[in-house]
Amino acid sequence: MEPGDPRRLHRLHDGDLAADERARVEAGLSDEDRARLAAIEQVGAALRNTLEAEAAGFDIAAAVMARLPASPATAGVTPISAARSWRSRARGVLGSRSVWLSTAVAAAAAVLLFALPWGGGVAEAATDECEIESLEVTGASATVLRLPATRGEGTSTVVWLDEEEGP
Amino acid sequence: MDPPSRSVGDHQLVEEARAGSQAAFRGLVERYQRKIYGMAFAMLRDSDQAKDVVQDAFIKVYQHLGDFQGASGFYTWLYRIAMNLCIDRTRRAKRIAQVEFEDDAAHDDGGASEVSPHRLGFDPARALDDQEIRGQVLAALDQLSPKHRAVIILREVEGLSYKEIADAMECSQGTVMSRLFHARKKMQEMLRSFVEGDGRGSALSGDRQQ
Repeated sequence: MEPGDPRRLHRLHDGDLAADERARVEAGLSDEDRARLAAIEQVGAALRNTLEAEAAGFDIAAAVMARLPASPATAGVTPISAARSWRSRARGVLGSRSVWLSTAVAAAAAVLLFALPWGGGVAEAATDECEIESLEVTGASATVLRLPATRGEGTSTVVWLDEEEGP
Repeated sequence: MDPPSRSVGDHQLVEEARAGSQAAFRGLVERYQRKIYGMAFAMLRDSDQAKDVVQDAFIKVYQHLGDFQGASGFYTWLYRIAMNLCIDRTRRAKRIAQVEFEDDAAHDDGGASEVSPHRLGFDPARALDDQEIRGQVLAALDQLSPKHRAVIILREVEGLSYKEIADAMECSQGTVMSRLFHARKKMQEMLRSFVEGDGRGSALSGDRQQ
């Protein structure tokens, strides 16, 4: 192995060298290089064995299952009551309603911009980067839901509009 | 309920779980909970927090089963979520006061990551049944920054390639290598000082070379 290149030993140990380079490095190993490789392996083995022993007998399957909703399709949906309670809490924490009126208007505008084409049942905001504190809708009631994002992680905020019956 | 046999692949369990089978999802939990816990415990060094992370990771996975594309393996997806939860917690807690290395600059010094040719002074297999040895291994791990800790766990425990680690940690492969080599060297130094420092070397080692 070329002198002054200790990284090749790690790469050899980790299987990161191409076959020809691996063969060349292996052919040039000194006794000290082999001792270093053994030392690298020992550190990894000590770590693996330690974590394996620490995790032995660990079992939280029952606890996980108890927290699951009935089906993945409904997982991550904040119940309407919780959403309402969140809005109430937000009002309490965030103070004056008037301060947040502009936020609500902006959120409503965002909802309109991203409204789906079926015309008014559900509108989905692009991200959770804005927080909807409250929403005033004429002729309808609005509920804020949080749903799993369709791509990647995180959630999407959905505003559900129920149109009220006309006179 | 008996866990699904190993012959049932992850993909099949994921499909069944997507279709509403909680038994299938439980099979995935039972298959991987210990590995995820080991990783989380190593990262957080707190069993309660590690438990929370395992639960949160599986719940999150369940919530996003519909998004899982299968391009990477189920376990790869799961540990990424769990590792990110660990890193978030570590950042919040700021448990590690030491300054993070500027990886590329601080480690790119030729021999800095060179491990010693000396053996640890004890048989690593003894970590399986010797709590004191495990305590020292975990204490050594604790001396690493969260990023160094994550890299050595992903490589040595999870068996990820440099590229997979780089993808998971959103950094370059060169940074992965720097962190890994530094972490190994630091771990080796800490573990060797344990053996040499307390006089247990002769008792622990059947294989001490030098």
